[in-house]
Amino acid sequence: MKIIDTNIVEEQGSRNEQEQIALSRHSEVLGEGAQERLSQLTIGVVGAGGIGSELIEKLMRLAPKRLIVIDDDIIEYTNLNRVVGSTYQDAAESASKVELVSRLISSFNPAQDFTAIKGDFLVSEHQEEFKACDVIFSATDNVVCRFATCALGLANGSAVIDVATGVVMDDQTIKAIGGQVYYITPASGWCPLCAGLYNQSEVSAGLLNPEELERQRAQGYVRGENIAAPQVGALNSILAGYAAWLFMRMVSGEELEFDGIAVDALTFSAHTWRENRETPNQCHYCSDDGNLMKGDSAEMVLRTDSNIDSDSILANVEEEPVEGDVHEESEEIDSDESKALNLDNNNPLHTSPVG
Amino acid sequence: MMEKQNVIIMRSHDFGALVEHLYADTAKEAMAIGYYRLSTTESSKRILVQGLSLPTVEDYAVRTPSLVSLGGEFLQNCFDRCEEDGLSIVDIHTHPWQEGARFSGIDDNEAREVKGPYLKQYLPEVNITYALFGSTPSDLRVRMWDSRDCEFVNVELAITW
Repeated sequence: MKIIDTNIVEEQGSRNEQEQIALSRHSEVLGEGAQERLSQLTIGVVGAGGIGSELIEKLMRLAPKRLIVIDDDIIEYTNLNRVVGSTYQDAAESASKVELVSRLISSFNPAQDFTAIKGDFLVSEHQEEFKACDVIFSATDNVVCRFATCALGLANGSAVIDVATGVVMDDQTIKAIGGQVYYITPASGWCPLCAGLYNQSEVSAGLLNPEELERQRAQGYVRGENIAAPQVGALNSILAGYAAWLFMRMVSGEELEFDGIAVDALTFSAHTWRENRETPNQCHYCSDDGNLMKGDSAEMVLRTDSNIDSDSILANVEEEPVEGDVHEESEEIDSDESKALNLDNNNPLHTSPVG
Repeated sequence: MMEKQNVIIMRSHDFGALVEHLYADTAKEAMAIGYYRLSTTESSKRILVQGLSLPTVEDYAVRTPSLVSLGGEFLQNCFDRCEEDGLSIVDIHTHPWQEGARFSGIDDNEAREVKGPYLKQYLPEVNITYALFGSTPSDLRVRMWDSRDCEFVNVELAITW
């Protein structure tokens, strides 16, 4: 990643003394000018749960130009072991995760420009917000949302950094525990679908129809919403830390010689990996013949009925609410509606053109 | 009111090829044409560069140490590609003699009086963005031409992946 400031009028002294001191300890590590470049970036985070809140905690301290966060979930008592900043009172009041994020960012730095959306990422209005992002972190356990984030990033010239953790249990014994961080850019030449990181059925299973949910439970998988899976806050911190560090290395201009990092928390080890690119690439999402860098004319990965969600947008800037979003009661997405994602032979996901 | 930000985005292999072409002979100004699509939100415009056309020596109409322009046939081919593929144009040139690249009066005049009106009349679907490189590849200025308001819109950031 190379960032060039093309401003005609060079900004000088835009930070006050306290901000400069606050950022000074990592500025040297990032390299000359990198903090200023970082501060011009708009960063998105999809998911504000265990991993997402850890990411936000780290990213807000890097002082980006703007943060955009989305999550449709609320704080429950089962979240309190890992969601950064969450309290028993939040769980008692069923506070939304994005309320928590807003509190976290506002209390850290009231001057930080951010938008926090309580809603479903698979709704076109919400993805429109994320089109402004230079880098998007995918920190959701919903496979469809993770793939939709990649598709959106590739279409709009953004990098996507995907972070996930997993635990495999067998009769009260940990069989595997760890996680993975990988990044995709418009120049990567691959995406999770064509690389086989997700397959078509897995992507559809991300909408968690009851049969698939049952299958995942039976196999001991711990991914997916609404599964009372083991979740470890410390593991989230490790993976979020790797993701934030990866981002900082990208911003510093370093040519990264890998595509992902796999962490085995059982053996306290990590290794990088590189995806084998297929050439020519004819993927619908990551090739020049498909949606790659198509911008407004690209298709988004959306729910078939994309007007079924969204509650509120929280921000520290005055903003026009997205139509139909603010303070309206959202309809619950039940499992039948969740199955509405269509698949066909040519396009593995239902997509709707926007423009 | 949310602050707007405009960004131009290129893939590193395109950017590398562009820089190699533009700085092959720094005794003279050089040109190239990029093609882009837009990604637009309320708070941003992202100029997504899809590819390049790099002129050969024969494709220039004029090329001196302080003046450069492309020949009509080369430009026509570029415009044809835009029309066929629904693309817009990045008009790229260099001021290799200048630290801190600044668009010149000639650049302003050509954009306002020649290229802007031409595109508006004959290719209204094709937008144009201007990129100017100075003495080094990281010395870059970019501006979009807003054909509706007939004014330049600054592009604050360039990102290569």
